[in-house]
Amino acid sequence: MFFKKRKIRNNKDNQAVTENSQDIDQLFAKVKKSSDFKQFPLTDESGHLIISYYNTLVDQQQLQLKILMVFRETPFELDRLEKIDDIKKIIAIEDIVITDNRNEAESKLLKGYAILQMKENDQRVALILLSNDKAGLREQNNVENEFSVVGPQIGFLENIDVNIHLLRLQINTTDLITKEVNIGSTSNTRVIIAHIDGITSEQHVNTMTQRLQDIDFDVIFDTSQLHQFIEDDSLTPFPLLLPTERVDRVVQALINGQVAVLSSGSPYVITGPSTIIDFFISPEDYFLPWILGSFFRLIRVFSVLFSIFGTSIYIAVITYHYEMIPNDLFGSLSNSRYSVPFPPVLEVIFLEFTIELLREAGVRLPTKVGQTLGIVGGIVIGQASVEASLTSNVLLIIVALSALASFTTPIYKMSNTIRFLRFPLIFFASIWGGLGIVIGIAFLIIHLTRLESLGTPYTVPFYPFRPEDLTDSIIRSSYSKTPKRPNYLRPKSIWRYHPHNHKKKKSDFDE
Amino acid sequence: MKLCFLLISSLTFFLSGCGIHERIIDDVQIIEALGYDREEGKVKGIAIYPTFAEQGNIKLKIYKTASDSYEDILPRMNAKSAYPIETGKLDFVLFGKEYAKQGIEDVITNFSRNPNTGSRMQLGIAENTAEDILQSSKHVNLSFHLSEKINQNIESGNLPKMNLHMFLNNFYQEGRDQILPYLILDEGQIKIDGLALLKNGKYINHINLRKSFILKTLIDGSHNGQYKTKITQNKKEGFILLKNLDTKTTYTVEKSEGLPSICIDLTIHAEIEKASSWFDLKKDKDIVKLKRILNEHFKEEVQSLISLAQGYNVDPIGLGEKVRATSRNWDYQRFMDIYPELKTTVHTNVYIPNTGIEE
Repeated sequence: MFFKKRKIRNNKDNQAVTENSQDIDQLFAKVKKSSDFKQFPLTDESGHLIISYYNTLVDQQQLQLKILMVFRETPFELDRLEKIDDIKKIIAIEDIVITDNRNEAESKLLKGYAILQMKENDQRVALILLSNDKAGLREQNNVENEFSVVGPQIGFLENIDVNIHLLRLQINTTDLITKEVNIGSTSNTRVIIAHIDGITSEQHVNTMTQRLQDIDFDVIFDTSQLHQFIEDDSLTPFPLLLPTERVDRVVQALINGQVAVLSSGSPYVITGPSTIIDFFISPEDYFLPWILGSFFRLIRVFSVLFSIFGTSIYIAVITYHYEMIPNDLFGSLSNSRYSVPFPPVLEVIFLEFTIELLREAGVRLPTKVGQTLGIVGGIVIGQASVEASLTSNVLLIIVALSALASFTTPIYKMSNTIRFLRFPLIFFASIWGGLGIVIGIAFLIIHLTRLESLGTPYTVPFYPFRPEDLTDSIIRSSYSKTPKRPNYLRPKSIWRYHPHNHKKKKSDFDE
Repeated sequence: MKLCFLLISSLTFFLSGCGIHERIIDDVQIIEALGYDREEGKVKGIAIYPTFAEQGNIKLKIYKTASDSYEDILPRMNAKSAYPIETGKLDFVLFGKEYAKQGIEDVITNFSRNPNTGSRMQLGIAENTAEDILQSSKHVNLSFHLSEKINQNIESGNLPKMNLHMFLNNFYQEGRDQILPYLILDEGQIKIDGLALLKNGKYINHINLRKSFILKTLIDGSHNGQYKTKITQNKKEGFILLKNLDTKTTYTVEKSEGLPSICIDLTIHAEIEKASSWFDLKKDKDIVKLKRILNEHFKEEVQSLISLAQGYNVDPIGLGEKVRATSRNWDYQRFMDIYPELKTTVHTNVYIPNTGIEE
């Protein structure tokens, strides 16, 4: 609250300053301080037809072909250009804006437009689009972090127009509406809210738009920043909106009636409102037969549970509940702990910390070094710490398995959450044993059921219970069973498609 | 948020006083078998504990102690141990015959109240002293082998299903007496030699392994197990080994008032595994003959077992329970008085679906 008030005051100060200096000359005086700003007359006559632009923002080729050629090569008849408005007839560029607004001129100049003046100190100018928005951006759009074996490998790029193009390729209807807002007082980033008209509930679109418009921040680097600003609850480790780099995922979300937010310069698109199950769904589930898809989805859910509870159950059992250990296992467990000098908690924290270090280091290092690190970390450190009896080898297996299990989550943000959730549970298990784990689970469930994503419950369809939407949650049912959009999204039209009622297969006798 | 914080801090403060003390797996001394003997008015305790110092090499070691009553046997052992003795993995308790004659009720009821010990623990009666038996099992480098031995014999041998839980069930229920495995030393090895019959936690007598198989079929039926019978026909003697006996027993209480009479219907499906060579198992006539012989044999065995139990005045089969289930005026004391005169009729149906050979 305190911060909000201060922000609003700051904002007012800024506006007051900008409104004082209206004219173009002041703008030029300011931008001339930069070395990449260029200003020169197009013709021999000085002080006439002055073009000004940022050298680094415009496309040099276009500048030469479309503007310099027109004015310099052939003898140019000046009388064709009486007013600045006539420039549209001469220059073959689609986006030319005539304005005398200093603010518009400034923002366009920064987006790669060139300013053309008839005479020096003219207030009415033409803004000509020469921007070179592809320069410096990645062009390879392979999926890098949400890889799948089956299905398309197309991901999003930093270029927002290409991203929209990718969406339009698949949602080939005029109902795909894109709404643009500019966010960031310094970066002035283009942010696009996409939804499908006639499907997506107005409420979600309005909530998303309103929350995005309310953002006051200087530079928007990525959608994950926007994500943090517009979340319903920032006091949670769970991601409440789903960030993805896969095109098919966003298309699927839009088709179901969710809203997508794209931001210029970010290859990640956030979709919402999302539920906790969305984070364990991989697009690959839909490309495999439903039995296999469901099976792998179940494996993913169980591996997440194992990843969260594996080490804490180890602590609870080894420290407090040795009665639970089966007779046959008792010997090997007791033996592996025999020469370890630490209590189980320290042992676990040591090993978990090592794994987290490996992960963190693996992310920062270049891929070629990363492999070596994996071998050094995984095999050498693991084996050596068992040899040096710093940890027991059973624990090494459990920790390695739970680290492996946490990688099965398709969304990276969720796997981070799972990494984090282990530690409070380890803490609970170490002070209260099995009771502690139950207390931890209780806290977790209470927290989860209270979460909301764009105002819809996060744990739907389990709580509140929506049996109809269970068809595509933990189990990926066959396509004939999932023709409807999920109810909790309140879509305007409920049917996605109409499955044929297949005729009964005739047996050989009938023919 | 404040509430959440208050809850966490209050849990930490109040629950940490609840005496959840750490019992880290390698900082406790588990004992896997415990024996009680009574000698010269004193109680002797013997416990086997495993040590897991080397990989894959388990050594069993022994604590012995004596006291004037059983209650402080464990604390006295604790004084000898490097780590606190824990009974959480205790799964075999053996009583010497002398001890069992005076009653094992105290020990059993206290184990049943202890939440650390499992109710699937096995109990047993030793022929002489528990010490002999446990001492000789020390050389086996296999932890928990005594209870495994009993479990294995329940699963595939001639012992009826039993453990602490079932013992307590029989102990507290009116109309059934307790049974425990009876262990002897046979050529220096521990052998299960039938069942000990107990009444109110006191040892009465024991029966051999053959009889215990009959008892098993009467109590919970059997699915496997092997049974040897001697057969005489036309003055020729021979043996038959039956296997995969699938038996089912139904009890019908024909009269529950006055002197009850119970009809026992025994259905046995058995394969013949081995037979003396003069049987021609390919002939249907011989099979029919064999069935008749087996029918009579089993009828005789069941009758003799029941009269034996009646002679000892113990009821391991639970005939009293069957009568209780059908009578409105149940009086346990009266039933115990008339139990030796209880009438039973036995019908047996033997089926031989298979005369298969040895696998």
